[in-house]
Amino acid sequence: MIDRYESKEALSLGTDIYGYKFKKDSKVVCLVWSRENTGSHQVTLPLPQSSRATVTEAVPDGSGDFSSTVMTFSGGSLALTVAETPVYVEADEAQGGGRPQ
Amino acid sequence: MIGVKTYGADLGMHWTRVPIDVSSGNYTGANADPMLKDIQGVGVVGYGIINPAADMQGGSFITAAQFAQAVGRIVERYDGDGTSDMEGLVYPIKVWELINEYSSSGMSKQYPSEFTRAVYMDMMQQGAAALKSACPDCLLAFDPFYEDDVTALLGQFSASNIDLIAFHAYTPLDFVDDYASDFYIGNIAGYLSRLGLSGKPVWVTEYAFYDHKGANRAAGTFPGSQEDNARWFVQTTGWGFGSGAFEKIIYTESRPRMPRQIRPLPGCRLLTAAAAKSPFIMPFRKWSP
Repeated sequence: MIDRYESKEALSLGTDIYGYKFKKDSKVVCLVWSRENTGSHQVTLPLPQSSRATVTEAVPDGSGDFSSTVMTFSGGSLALTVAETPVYVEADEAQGGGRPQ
Repeated sequence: MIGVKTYGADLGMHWTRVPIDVSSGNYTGANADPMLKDIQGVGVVGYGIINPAADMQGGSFITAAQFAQAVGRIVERYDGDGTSDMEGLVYPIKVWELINEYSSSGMSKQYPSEFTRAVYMDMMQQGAAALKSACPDCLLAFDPFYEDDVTALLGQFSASNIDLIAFHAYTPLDFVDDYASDFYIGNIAGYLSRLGLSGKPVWVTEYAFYDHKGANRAAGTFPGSQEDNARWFVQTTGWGFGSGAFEKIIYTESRPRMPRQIRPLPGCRLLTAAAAKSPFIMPFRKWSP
């Protein structure tokens, strides 16, 4: 998913929150989680001007499946609750941004 | 490494360690052929490690000159330049670590007493020269294991000879007994800065989570399940790649645990005793390390 990423960036999302943004193949993949044993936190994740993001738990359930949810957002930021299990947040870099002139 | 031949492709592995021990009685250089054939058969590239070893025949400890000769022969055999290469070589070894986890204090590896700091320094200097002579475009990976020895070495051996740092991490980012330990992965940058080795690429060439502070926990006290390790793996790897603390990882505990074996501890291994996959496999594969 993230191997051979083209660029990376550390995100400032608040105390006890780790967040990194990776770009690969016109996709933006953020990895976000909170420090162990600090509970859940609300974060606002800066994303490209697309409208949908896929949020996937980084650790699978007992069947080996990764829980995944498609979330909609606007204004270039996604509100998200994170905890110690990291989540991948994927969005298309090229989507949205208005109609070409 | 056990498991790579059978499961390397399925695990999504790209690299694995190829340790080669050389002694005064055996430094011809072809010892790693079987392993190279196994791992390249599943698309895995070797990271070479050459270590001086005690002579199984009871002879004297290998000299620096013998060690350097062995380095030259081994590197020449696996560098893929078309000269004296292993027959059927597909993926050359271009990154070489000389002398893994050396410590004159006796910490870690059980090197023989003849392997003094002076001998270590001589071997590093002669070995590095032999490496670059055999393969100018190969990279020297350096394991800065014990600060006193590294400091002494760098007094005679320019840091410019070192192409990348081989760091060993057995502590998760955020579940740690001793945050001050130099072996804690969060302290890589500070440790390397102190040694004058800042700015070099860092590869985590031993990677698993079973000690949490640089000194082994007592058997049976390891707190993590495989699910914990999966979470810690993603946290630590995400932090390392995202922050630029390291560039590559080689996860070392793929193999199942054998009877009476302490390592790998149950939470760390990618394969179970029945060689089935652990819950840790899927997060590991997502990173395709």
